[in-house]
Amino acid sequence: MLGKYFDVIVVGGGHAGTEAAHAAARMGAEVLLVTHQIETVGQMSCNPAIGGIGKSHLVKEIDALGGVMGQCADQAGIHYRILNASKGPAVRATRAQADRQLYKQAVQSFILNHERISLFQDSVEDLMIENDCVKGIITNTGVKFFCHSVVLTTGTFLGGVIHIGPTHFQGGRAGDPPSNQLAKRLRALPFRVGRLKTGTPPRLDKRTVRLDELEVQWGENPLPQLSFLKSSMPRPEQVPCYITYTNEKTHEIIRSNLSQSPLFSGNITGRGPRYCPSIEDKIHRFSEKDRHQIFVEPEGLKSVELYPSGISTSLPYAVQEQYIRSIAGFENAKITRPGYAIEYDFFDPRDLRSNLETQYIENLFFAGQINGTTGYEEAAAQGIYAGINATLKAQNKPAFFLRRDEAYLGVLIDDLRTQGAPEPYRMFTSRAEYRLLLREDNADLRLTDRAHEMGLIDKERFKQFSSKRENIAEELLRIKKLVVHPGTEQAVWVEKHLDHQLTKEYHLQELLLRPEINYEKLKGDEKLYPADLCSMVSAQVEAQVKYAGYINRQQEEIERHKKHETTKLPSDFAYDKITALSAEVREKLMQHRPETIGMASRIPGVTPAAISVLLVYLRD
Amino acid sequence: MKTYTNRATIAAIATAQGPGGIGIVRLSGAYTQKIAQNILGKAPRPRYAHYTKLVDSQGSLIDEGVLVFFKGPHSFTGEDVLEFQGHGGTFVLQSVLEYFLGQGAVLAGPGEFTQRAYLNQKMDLAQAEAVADLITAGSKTAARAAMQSLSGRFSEQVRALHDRLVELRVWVEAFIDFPEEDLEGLQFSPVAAALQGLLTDLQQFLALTQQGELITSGATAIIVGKPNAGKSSLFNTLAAEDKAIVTDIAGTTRDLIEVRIDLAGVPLKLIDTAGLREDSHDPIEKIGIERAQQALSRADLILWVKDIADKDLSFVLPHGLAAHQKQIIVYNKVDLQDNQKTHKEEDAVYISAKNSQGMDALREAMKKALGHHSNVDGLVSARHRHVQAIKQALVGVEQGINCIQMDSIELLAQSLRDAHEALGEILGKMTADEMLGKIFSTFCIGK
Repeated sequence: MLGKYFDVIVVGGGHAGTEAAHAAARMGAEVLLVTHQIETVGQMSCNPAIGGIGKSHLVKEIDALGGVMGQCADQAGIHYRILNASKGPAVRATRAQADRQLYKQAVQSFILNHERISLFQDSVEDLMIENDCVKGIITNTGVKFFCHSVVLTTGTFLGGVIHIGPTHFQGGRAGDPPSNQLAKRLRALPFRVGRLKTGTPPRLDKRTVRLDELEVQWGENPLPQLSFLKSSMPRPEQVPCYITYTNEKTHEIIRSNLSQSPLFSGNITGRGPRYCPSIEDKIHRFSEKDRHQIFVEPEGLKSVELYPSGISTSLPYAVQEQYIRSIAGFENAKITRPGYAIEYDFFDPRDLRSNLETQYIENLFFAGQINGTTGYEEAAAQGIYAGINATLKAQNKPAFFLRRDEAYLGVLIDDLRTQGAPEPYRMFTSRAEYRLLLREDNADLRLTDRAHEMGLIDKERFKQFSSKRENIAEELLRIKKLVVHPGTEQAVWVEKHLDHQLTKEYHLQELLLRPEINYEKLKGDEKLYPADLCSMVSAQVEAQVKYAGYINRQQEEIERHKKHETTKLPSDFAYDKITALSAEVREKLMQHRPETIGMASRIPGVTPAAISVLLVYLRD
Repeated sequence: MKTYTNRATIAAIATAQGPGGIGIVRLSGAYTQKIAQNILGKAPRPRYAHYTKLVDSQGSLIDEGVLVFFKGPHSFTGEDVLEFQGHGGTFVLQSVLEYFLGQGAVLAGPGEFTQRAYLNQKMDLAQAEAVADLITAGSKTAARAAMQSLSGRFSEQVRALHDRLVELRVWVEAFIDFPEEDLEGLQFSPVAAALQGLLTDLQQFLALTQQGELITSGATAIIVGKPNAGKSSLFNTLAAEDKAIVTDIAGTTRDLIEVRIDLAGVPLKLIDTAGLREDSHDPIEKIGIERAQQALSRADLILWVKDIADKDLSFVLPHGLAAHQKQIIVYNKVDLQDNQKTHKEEDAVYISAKNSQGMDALREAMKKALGHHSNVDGLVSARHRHVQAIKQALVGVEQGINCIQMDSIELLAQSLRDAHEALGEILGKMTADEMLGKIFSTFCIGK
């Protein structure tokens, strides 16, 4: 392996790193994945769940691009929920509780079994850089590897510091060392570096928790999938999750120990996510709430641990034990691993190009938490995107780009590049202005062709997809043609769900447009709902029909905005000379150096008036 | 690349043309301070009234008056500004202006002072437009409304509606993005009620904004009817009584004649299609007819004038009325008729243009048709784009109410987003992240 030239070297074996490596390999690149420990490749270091609102949309997109996350989650999923099931398809989201061991095994089997992926266990100490272009890496033991592109996916390992109460020590994740040398090296480059924090709750010994005292929540039946691929593997056994709540006593314990939390003592300076506050934060900020929900997640089928989601903390261990035992069902609970807060370096994503390559060092790509995001799904999404682009660059092909109206992945990259990461970035559906277009159910329709063109997916997947697409087209045609005449059996069937009788004939499509009618209600009449109609197809058609009016309007809006999205701003544009812009806006534009007017308009603080000033200058 | 600081120093006469007591010439730009220094022989003190004489290169006096210097950015344009307040009078002012042009300033283009103020972010777009409105105001009412917009009253009112919409979006978006959170009090009935209230207030505000647009941009009314129905008399009566501002001198009598009048605050362009017969074979008259047709299709208000003695009662427009067009049927020459015998149509107006009988009723009908209410309190000047934006917001809110009835939260969210975006066109956009920030500060969320 020594002396071998790789197309792409991926540093890190987490969710970003594995997607990057596997995508590059699928596209034909020779890949080296360097990780400090091969056994932890594919490890879920926080809560044992994949998906959720906004996040499952990313997983489905990764899957449509041939990524591994969805398939692995389905091989490891031991409890599924469809969130927002009672709401419309655009905001419906799937979440799987995953068995940590099964998940890791699934990821490792993808990585270890790919013929073009080589593995090397060592920490990376340095990058070889010539003329602002990366040439390779040097590991801790002094081994050099040469390559075209490097994808850095170092997660929270750069300069990581773990806090538990007043104690703090260096670490990349509980039990693992941080990457200090690399952090030092990168800090010497012109990147802007920031500090963020995140936290985890204490984990509990399942055998000491009184499960019969907790609310039980069973998962969905039939089992949903996160991957579009028809799974041939047997699905794991399904187990329940549990719910309990904090109480006034818990709050009192935490309140009287607030000063011992590094979040309040001032030991932690990095910003944490607003949507994922520690329990001490919640109690402090929302003092009027008398209880907070705890979602108790199984760690795995064979695991003896439970993950109590909702009470992450950095209080001292003794306080953790005290407040845990004040909670219903946890009276005798033993903590198996204390909760902790971790602070780490991240690089300002506004310094990245739209292919996730850094602005200052050519062929160097960043993906995952290093860019200030949080969450497995956000990391994996950037991983696949960076892996694809690192490979395209090595193959001398044009970059892969997704607009905000094409994918949540496009929203993610654009948000990072225009907003930066003032706090750890997490996806929400409210971030997507084209939410009705970017649905879980149509991620494959949106992205499979692109994946196919780039060689990211195999023949089998494309065949499955093509047949689904044909079936959708046929079904759309069928409902346009099928006429329901008043007085017929079909009319009577439909009228069961209406408060009036049909007085004239309607096409089935028109009937489906009505809020009272959906495919579920057509089931039972062979003509209205043929026996061979697959639920994936009907779901797709239903969404297209129900949203048609709004989607058409959004399409018009997209066309209108395209002009701004394609109006380029020169990279050396002298914003500092434009006195018509306020000092604040000038500084923002200098920092971001947006590529287009569209991007500039999304930078916070850049006003519509500032945009018209820029347009005046571009015209001049 | 050129920058605005390097741009030329501009000069223009700031007061109205024609003789007057005081005339002002204004300068803006980097060279202003130097010019002031040349005149005063010392550095000007900002915001201080320097009494001075202006003397040309031959040593003869041009004018004497007060020179005030404003140091940028604390000035109207944000640049260094100089105002010379001398004697009014076309000739004197022209000489003063030429003096400054001789000192290195260039003649300002139309609206260039306001443009610079806008580019230097001394005012937002709505305010810049209000300045333009103030200058070109066609009536006293319009001027007053422009002044109110300039003071930010319009933006304030939009902001209040905007904030209520944002509050609703916070609830709806939280409901979608955090379905599992134990969010206290997150229910739909208050959202529905609040949306209904917002709808009512938006409708009222739209009416007010449309008024604003009407008095700012004005409207066009056209007088049509058969020959000898008394169109010209009506035209002349309206023009005379409502103080025609400009009289267009048309080429031939067969062409269109127009005047601008102030109809109780509404700047109205009134067009007369005098002497046109629809069945004419005269080529010149045919051209006139064509022009009349064009004007007809563009007019906001059509006044159909008919001789009350005429038995032919058909009033049919060649192409029908467009959606925004209104018409009033005007029966003329009632002075020649025995009133008792005439059957009155409810929507029609009965006048005698000759002796001004019924003119007040006609004016009321015109104002009503144009959507003008005489209560001008709270009126703000508005542009067509403001009206459009508020209409769009209104559509969004209306759709939102439908979506609640259809029980579709994601479409409700989309409708509210559309409405929010529309108001953002006036006030500036809010990012998704700011929206999320509001959610997080309202609800305790997170695992």
